[in-house]
Amino acid sequence: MSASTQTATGVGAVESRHLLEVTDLVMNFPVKGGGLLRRTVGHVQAVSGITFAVDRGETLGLVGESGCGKSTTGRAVLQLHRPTSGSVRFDGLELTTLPVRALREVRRDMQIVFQDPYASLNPKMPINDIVAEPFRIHGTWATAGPDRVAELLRVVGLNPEHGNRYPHEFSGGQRQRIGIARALALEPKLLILDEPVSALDVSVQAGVVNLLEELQERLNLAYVFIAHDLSVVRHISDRVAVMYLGKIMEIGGRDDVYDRPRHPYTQALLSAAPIADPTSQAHRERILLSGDVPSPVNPPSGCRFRTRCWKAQEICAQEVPALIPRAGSEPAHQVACHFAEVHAVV
Amino acid sequence: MSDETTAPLLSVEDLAVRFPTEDGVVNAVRGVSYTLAEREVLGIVGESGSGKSVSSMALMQLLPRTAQVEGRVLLRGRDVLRMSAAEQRSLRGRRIGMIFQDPMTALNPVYSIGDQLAETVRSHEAVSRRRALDRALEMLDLVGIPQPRERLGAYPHEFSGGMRQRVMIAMAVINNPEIIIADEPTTALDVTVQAQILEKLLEVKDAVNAAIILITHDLGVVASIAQRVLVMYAGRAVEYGETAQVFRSPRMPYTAGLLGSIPTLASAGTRLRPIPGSPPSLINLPPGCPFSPRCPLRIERCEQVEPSLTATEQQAHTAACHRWVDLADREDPVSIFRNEEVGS
Repeated sequence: MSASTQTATGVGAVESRHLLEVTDLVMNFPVKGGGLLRRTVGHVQAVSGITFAVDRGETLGLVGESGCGKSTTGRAVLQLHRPTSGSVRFDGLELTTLPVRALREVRRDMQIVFQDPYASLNPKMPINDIVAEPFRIHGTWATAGPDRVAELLRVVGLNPEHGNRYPHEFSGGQRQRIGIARALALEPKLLILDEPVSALDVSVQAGVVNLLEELQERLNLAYVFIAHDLSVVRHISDRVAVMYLGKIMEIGGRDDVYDRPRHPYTQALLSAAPIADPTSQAHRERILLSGDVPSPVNPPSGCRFRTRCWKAQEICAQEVPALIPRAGSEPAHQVACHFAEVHAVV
Repeated sequence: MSDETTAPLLSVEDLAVRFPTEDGVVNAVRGVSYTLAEREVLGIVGESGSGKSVSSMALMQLLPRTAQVEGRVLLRGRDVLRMSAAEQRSLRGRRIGMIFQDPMTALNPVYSIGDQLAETVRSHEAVSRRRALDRALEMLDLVGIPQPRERLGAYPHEFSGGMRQRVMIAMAVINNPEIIIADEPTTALDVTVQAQILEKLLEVKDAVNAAIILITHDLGVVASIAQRVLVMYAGRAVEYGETAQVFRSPRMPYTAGLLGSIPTLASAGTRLRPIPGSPPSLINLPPGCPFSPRCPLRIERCEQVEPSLTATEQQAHTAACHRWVDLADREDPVSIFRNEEVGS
C-alpha cells in the first residue's frame, strides 16, 4: 500500500484513469527558532502522507476542522506550496518535479477559488479586468477579448453591463461569483474550491452552491471542495474525505461516509454538526469529544486521533492504522481505524 | 417602582436603534418587542445586517454614543434605558453577562485570566483580591478548564479558541447574572468544539439559574438549544414562537426561505432553493414589507403596508406577513421558492 515516496515520483506520463491522483503527499513547514540564526527547530506536519484521486466531472469533498490540513492539501495539489514529498499527478503528468515554466501551462487546467471574496479580488481593478487577467497572463487576450469576459460574467449570473464596476460595489455573494468567473476563464478541468461559501449568509450561499453544481454539469468540471460545513459538503460531493491532523481518516462515497461512517472521528464530527431541525435534533445521538486537536508540530504516535478517541487501546499508540476498506465496507470506502465499525449517527 | 416579582425577567418593547451617518440615518432596529422568561433560551436569528446584534447591544447600552435608542427595556419591570449611567454600569457584567464571538479580542491580552476574572468580581463587589481569585478558580472549574489553579496565571494567548471561549463564559457568569447575552458564541469554533461549548453553556446557565439570549446566524445552533426563536429581517422581528413550531411550520416567507437555503439530508442531488435578491438598504427603506421585493407571495398590499407581528393559528406563534394563511395552506412552505437555474 505505502509506496515509498522516491518511487512515486518517477517520470513518464503513465496513462491514468483519474484526472488527479495524489499519492503519499507530505507537506511540512519548518518552524524557526527565535535566535540570530533562525535555525529550524521543528516542523509543522500539515499534511502527512495522504492518497486520493479525483475523476473528471466529479466532486471530492474534503472536510475537517481547522488545522487538519485540508487547505494545505488544496494548495499543494496546485503546487502553490511545493510538497515536501509524494506525488501529484494531473492528467497523467507528474507536477511535483515539473519546472515552474511548464507548471504555468498546467495551471490553465487547474484553478482555485478562495474563501474570502473580499481579499481575493484586487480592489483597484474593475471586474472586467479581473476576469480578463487570466487571458492576459496566458497570452490569449487577443483571441478571447471582451466578448468572452461578458460571457463569463453571464455564466455566473452577473450582468455584463456592470463589468466596469469595482469589487466593493458588489455584495459578498456576487464577489464570489466574480472569483468563480475568473477561475473559469481558461476552461479548467479541475477547480479547487477552498471554503467557497463559508463567508456568505445562508440564503446567498445556496445560490452559489447551485451555480457550482450547474457549472459542473455543463462543463464537466472536477471539484475538490474544501469546507468545514458538513451539510454543504454532503450536498455537493460525490465522494468525501475526512481529514484530521494531516491524515485522511475516512474516504468513500458520500452516502457511505455520511450514512455508514466507520471512523470514530467521522461519527463524532457528524454528531456534533448542528442540524436545523429541532425534532431530529432532539432524538439523535451526541458524541462529545473531550479536549482539543493536538499540535501538528508534535502529533500523537500511531493513530493521530487516539488522544480524543473513546475506543483507543494500546495498539492505537503503536501502529498507524492504514487507510483501507474495513470489514464489510465497499472497496472504495476506506477507513484508517483499527476498530472501525459502522455506527450511524444522523 | 413596579412589582419586581410578577414582571417578566426581561421585556423589550418597541426597541428602535438609529445611527445618523453621512449617507443618511441607518435604521438598524425598527421596533422590536419580545420577552424573556426565567431560565429560558431565546434564539435571535438573522443574516448580516438584520439588526440582531445591535438590538442586544442596545440592552447593554454598549452602542456608540451616536446611536439613538428608543423604546423600553424592562428588566424585572424597570426600564434599563432610563436608568442613570451608574445604575446601567452596575447591570453590565453583574445582572447581565455577555459572551462575544471572538474571545481573543474580548479578553485583554496583557492581563492573566485570573486577574481579569477577579476584576470582573471586584468591579461590582467589595471583596478582597484573594476572595475574588477563589471565585475565579471556582468558575474556571465550572466551565471545564483542566487544572484551573495552574491556569489562573495564564494569559489569553496561551489558550486554544475553545478554551478561551470557556474563559469568556466563566467571565459572563462569575457574578451570577440573571441574563446571559451570547452573541455568536460558537461561530469562530470548529464543530466538535462548538458542541462542547454549547453543552457547557447550558450546564453553566443551569448552575447559575440564568436565562440566555442567543444571537446567531446558524439555524442549526438555534434548533439545538433554543426553546423559542425570534427571526429578524431588515431591523424588524418577522417571526416569533417556539423553535420547533417555527421551524416546522414557518409562517413568514423569509423564514421559509432561510430553511430552504440550508442543505439537508434530503437535498443532496437536488438544487437548493435560495432566496432571490438581497436585503434592502437600511437607509432608504421602501414602504411596505421590507421582504416584499424578494418574496414570491407578494401582493399589492405588501408593497404598501408593513405588516407587524400578529398571531397565526397558534396564539404564541406570531409572524409579520399579510399572507401567512397562504403559507399555512401549503404542505411544504419552503416550496414557494424555486430551485432556480442560474445564468442560463
